[in-house]
Amino acid sequence: MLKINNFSKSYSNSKKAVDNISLEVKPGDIFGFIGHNGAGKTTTIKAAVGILDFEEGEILVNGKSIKSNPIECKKDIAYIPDNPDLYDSLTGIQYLNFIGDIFKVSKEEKESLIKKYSEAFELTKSLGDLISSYSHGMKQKLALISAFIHRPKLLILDEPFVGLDPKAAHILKEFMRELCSEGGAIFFSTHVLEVAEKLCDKIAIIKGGRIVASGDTNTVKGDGSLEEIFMELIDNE
Amino acid sequence: MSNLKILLKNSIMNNWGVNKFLKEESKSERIKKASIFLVILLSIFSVGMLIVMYSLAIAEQLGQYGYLNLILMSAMILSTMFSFFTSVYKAQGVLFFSRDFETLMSLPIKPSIILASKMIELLLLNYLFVALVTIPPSIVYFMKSNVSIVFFLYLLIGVVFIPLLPIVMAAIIAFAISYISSRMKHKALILNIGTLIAAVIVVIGSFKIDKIINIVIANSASIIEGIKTIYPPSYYFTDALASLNLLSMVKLILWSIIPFILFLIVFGRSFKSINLRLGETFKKSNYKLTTLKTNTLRGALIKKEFKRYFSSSVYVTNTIIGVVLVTVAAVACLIMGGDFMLDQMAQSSDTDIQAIAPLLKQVMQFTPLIILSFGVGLTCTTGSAISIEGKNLWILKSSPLEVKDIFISKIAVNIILLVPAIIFDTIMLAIAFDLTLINFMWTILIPTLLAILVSVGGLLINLYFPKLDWTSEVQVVKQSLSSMISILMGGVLVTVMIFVTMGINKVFAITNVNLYLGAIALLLFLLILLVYILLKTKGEKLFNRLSS
Repeated sequence: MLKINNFSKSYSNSKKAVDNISLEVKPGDIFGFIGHNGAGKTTTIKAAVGILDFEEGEILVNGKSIKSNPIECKKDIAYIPDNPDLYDSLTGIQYLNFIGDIFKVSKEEKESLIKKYSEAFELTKSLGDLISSYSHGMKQKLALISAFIHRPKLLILDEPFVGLDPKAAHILKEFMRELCSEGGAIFFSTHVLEVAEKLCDKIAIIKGGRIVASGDTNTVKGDGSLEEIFMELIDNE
Repeated sequence: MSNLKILLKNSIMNNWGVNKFLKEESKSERIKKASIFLVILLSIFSVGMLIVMYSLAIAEQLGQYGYLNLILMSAMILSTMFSFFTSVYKAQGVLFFSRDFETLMSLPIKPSIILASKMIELLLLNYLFVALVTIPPSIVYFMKSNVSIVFFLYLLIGVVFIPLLPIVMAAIIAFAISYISSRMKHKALILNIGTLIAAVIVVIGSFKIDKIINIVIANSASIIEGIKTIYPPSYYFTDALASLNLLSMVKLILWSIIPFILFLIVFGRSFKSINLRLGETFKKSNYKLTTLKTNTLRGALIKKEFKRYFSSSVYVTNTIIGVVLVTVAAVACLIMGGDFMLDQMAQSSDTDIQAIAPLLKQVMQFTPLIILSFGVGLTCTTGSAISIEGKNLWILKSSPLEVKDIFISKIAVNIILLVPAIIFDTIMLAIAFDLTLINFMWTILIPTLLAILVSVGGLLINLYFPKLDWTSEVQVVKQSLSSMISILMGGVLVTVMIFVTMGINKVFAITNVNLYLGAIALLLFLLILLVYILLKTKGEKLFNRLSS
């Protein structure tokens, strides 16, 4: 579903933010992307969803190149950044409607999916309010609903659990599993190692722009905990 | 360092691009920024020289009659008025629509200090013009009179204090509008209408400046006394400089500093509450899911663009003012009749207007076209349309959208705002000026083509000069290079068209006006094509390179 081959990215001729990384997220996978601050997670994610241009390497979404066929790729993707800045001047429902229209979701499907997800995230009553009045968590929930309502094949999330209350985090995990059970795939970055350990089938650890460990979660962590492995990899040069 | 100093340093580093220039690592970017700075500096120098030359000519005349000090007074009045007029516009955004308000409020700083820093920021924005309008005529005064070199010390102090009082007055108006709108449900709407009304009054007022100055020059001695009663600081400024009168200088300082401090004390508290209330939104939390409308992709984008546009009073008032003024003028012309202008000319001119009335009436057939073209030329929402996305850009960039569709939705806003206004205004003006059918059609066609060109061109300019890392919409709509160039573009286009037409007329003595207008329409059409092709090729590449 998502294939990153030898991808590198540097900003304004400075050191490489991401250096020759490769990974593959298959249908049904929940893939955790772990790394400390500034390791290159967001850069990789932004390039994968077509926000950031890049020169080196190749990124394929469902077999199509994000570089040469960005529109077709984006039709299959839902992306939520780490701090979703949404259109403050729209109401929640206007924003969902807008995203639904962009992804050409039919009226009936849009209505039923908005109902499903907004009720699950307990946001229905606030949908008529302006987004500017939302708390950080509410914005996060709205962004998540907007991601799910167009039934993406690939869900790419940057730190999705930050700002969510425990119940919402639990519901999100449920929906993530549901999406994958239907053949979708998820690629997300996180700092919460416990979540990654319990939720992800596969993980990759990125350090200084390079992947230092990648594969099935159980294989990567071995007999120890993910936290132990992570600390070991991060501390060792 | 005091909190005020820290705040000021921070806002200058952050909002004025100083930091960006200093920290820019890319050499080409640094060169680009330095060249823009140099061009601006050169333009300021050229304008300064022009003012010196103009002042020299006036000083010659005034000197003969012994009224040389009037040159100082008119410089003071002009810079005061400019500070006031532009600050009415700016104050709203600087004081009430800063993104950093909540951050600042969370810091251990008194609201009055924050207000003071915002007011000083507003003040700094005015110093450039105040210096430009005040210093060159003052230099001319110094050259023509026998004052000592201390004059320049007085001048410097004067320049520092001139804009204080007008800025306080402008800020009070901004406070009043914001206070009223903060208590309303539809804040943005009330702000939009309130600021537009204030702007219309301000523009109408500014048309009277030259008349006032004319009167001042004509009735010098007595008028100096008159002005002293109407606006005492101007008298004290003039007297302080012309006679090197320390007492007058002290009076000028007191007249400026006392209202400023009083303002900070009185409004320091409400500054916070108004800002907070403006930031509040009516939360109903009673939404019930009902049926939803479905739009086409372009429909959804255009709808979103309009909602974004009308939610920002800074954006609306700065971009729509041209067409609002023309509409006000069109309605006024309809009420007063086209002959009104002829009567006005007859009153203010020595020549026998009635004798050339038929010719004037013929010329006036094209007045609506020129008025409308200027109005349209000044209305460019697209010059900020990309920058205004700011941190929301990720939504468009990560959606399965053709860049072309994003461009079209942004262009459509400007065209949808303009075209109905063009048609409405033309009908009003056609009745007022008794336009012939062919002129009626030109008056609709040319401004419409201009509207398309300005819309497409503005977007291309914004793509070349984007500013996505803004903290206040004012930075995008008023202070960004893109918005300035795109607004200038319209005015320059219309002016060039008028001068070229006049030039051709003089050289070739062709009297068929329709031929000119046809050529202009064709030229505009070709320009639209050219800019559109550029937008499709270069513009799309620039958009793809953007990252917020």
